[in-house]
Amino acid sequence: MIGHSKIVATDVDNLQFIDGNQAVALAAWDAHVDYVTHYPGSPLNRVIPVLQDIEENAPVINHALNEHIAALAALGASMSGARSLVVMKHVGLNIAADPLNYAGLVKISGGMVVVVGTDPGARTSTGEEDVHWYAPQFNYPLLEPYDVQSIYDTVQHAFDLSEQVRTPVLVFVAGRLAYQSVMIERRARLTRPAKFEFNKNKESLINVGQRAVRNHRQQIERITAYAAQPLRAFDEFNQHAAHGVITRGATYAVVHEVIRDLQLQPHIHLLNVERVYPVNPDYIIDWCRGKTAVTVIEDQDGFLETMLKRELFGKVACSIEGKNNFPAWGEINDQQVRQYFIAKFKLENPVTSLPALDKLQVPERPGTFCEGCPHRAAFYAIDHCFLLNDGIIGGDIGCSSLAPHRTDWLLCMNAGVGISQGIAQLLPHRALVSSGGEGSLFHGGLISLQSAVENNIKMTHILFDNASIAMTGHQDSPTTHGHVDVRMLLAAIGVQQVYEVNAFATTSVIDAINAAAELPGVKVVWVRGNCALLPSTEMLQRRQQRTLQIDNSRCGECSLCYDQLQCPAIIKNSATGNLSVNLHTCRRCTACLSVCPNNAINVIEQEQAVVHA
Amino acid sequence: MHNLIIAGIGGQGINRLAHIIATTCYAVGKSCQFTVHKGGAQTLGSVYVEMRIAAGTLPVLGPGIPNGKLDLLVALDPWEGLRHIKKAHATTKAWVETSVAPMFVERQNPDEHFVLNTNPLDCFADIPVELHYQAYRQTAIETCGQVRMANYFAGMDCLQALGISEIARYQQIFFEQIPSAVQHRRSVLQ
Repeated sequence: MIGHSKIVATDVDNLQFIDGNQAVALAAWDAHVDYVTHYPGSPLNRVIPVLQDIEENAPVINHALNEHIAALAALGASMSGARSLVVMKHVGLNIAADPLNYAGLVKISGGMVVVVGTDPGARTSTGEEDVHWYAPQFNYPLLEPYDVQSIYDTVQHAFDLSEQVRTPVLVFVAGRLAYQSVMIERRARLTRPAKFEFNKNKESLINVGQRAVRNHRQQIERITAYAAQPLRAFDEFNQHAAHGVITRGATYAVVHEVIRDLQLQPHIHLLNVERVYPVNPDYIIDWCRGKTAVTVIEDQDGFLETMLKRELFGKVACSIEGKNNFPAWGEINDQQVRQYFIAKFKLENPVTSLPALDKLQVPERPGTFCEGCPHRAAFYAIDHCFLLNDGIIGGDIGCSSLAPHRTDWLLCMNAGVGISQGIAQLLPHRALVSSGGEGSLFHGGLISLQSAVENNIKMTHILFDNASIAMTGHQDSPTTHGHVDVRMLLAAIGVQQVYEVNAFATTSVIDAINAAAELPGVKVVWVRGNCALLPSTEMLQRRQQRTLQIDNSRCGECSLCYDQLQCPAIIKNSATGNLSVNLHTCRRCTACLSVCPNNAINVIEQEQAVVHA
Repeated sequence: MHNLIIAGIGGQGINRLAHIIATTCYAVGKSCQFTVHKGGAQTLGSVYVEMRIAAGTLPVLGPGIPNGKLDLLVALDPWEGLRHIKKAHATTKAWVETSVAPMFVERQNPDEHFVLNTNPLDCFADIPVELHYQAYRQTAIETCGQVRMANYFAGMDCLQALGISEIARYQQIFFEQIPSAVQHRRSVLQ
């Protein structure tokens, strides 16, 4: 059993609060990681920037275009003796699953740690998929830290463990821990010779037929032997209590706090499990001895509960409960845990919240496109072409989905270009466009477009190119530095016609979409416009030199700029209904000018000013 | 033990202020942990930080503040203050910005009518907690000529809420952590 202790900083002049993202990065660097690869995704979108800032002894960083590539590249590094780190979000693990199903067969020599940001509650994602089930499928150890210090410790341990079992090791970091900040204690950076070599070992590297079966068997034998090793876990409160509670990950601290608050410490024996897969059955059987009931409290589907029931069936006298008391969706919160214990132990609720506050109505302040965002202007054009005839607009994830009501579905990466193909083939007379950003195009959308070409599907794809993976912190995309000739690339895979248009010239975008609709085959409207949060010098100059004004005497109250363009910088006076431009937030993109049919929006040019980007 | 929420919208420097308050807490001998919530929006959505602060060593605490356990609330926008006051108890204290930041609600959404026709400050009037109305943005403009310094003044109220009197230490940490604000140092120290 591994104990735990709170770290308190004593040197206040060198204080540094570390969040979960930074803890992953610093732990990897302190463990002497040699090779880092990733595909950006919240909640672990800030790990790579920390590692990129390291100047001395920096690891090699591979900015992969999807998680499948990232996993394979890291595998190559670890097959060559390097310590490798792969970072992705939960849904990225689906993309990486193909190689990860086989990476355990090859007996890596350098540690390979796959850190995955999970998202119970879907705080930063389109879904909250529970990816724990991949651990028994891959047959990899799965570690789940419970606070920021534990993230640091666990990632470091994962490298050693990976080298011991010679398979990749999964580390899952819950979203609410990824953005939690505390003081942590770091260890001195590990000294390790950077000696890489590739050995041609056909017995482990050529996996086909009986070799593949043998290597699979050996992988299972390694993980089974590891399962018998001491469990990475700690227990608290009364070990003689009849009621046991088992937690993992972010739920541990929530449950601990509620138990203490309800003063249930004498009545509960709490076990937090960090090594979520494989559990050590003998340890758990011993821990259950003397208990009448055990409750597993965990986020999402009940993975740990299922694993425990699988291992303990017929071997323990106590009951094991879990998801029959807690939801399998969202984050487990203090209210749910509190209500459970209050009912279980027949307690009075000591919380003195104010019941009157339950009736307060506060509208959600949702995400939307920023002022000056090229996607806003482009969506106005798409709406203009499609909404009037009940057209279908296929949506993708990324910044183009920040205003989720602008498309007809929002599901997963490349859902726009993919789902649209099925609809286009069955409903050929229905107006339809698919949409997606350039990040999605290079992640997997290109192959999807080519598939549409091969199937001779008549469809138009709107490619939003803001020259950045903006949603997750402005990582570079292949179009950021102009490395890729997008027009030539699309033509090479058989796209019928590519229309290159300026996002803010809405009339041009409308013309291009309408022209594309007339042609057979696959067409792409390549809508270009830099992210408003990464303004060019010209954009900054525009902001200094221009003022925008709405002339209400000319305004025909058609409300196109307000209701259809939906720029947040255009605001309505609730008393008069008059519209005006909020110059503090307006970025002078002037997309609203081409929207107004009455020329009621005026641009006032100021004297030239020198602006530095 | 204090549970503090700092609430506002993207771009107001909520995350940065939380780091500064947390560092100040440690500098004066308190312990602190905090969790940032910024959702999917980068610039226009709700942002808030749940801070858990103790005089000595922090006990094991969940990342979020339990319902009914919010002791202190500092809000740089009244809508965002309302959003979190639901966690209050009878002796909660709140410092709330009076000017309303434009709230983008999907146009044609029924919520928009509600937003346009409701003053969130009116909603606060019926809430039985100790309320302090503040004009952080106006003060920042008058003092520094820049609305972005509003978080500095909100931070001063965080200190008061937490009973921290070492203002100079806060100021030192604030200007160290936000070098771009140094030009306003003289203005706020006067």
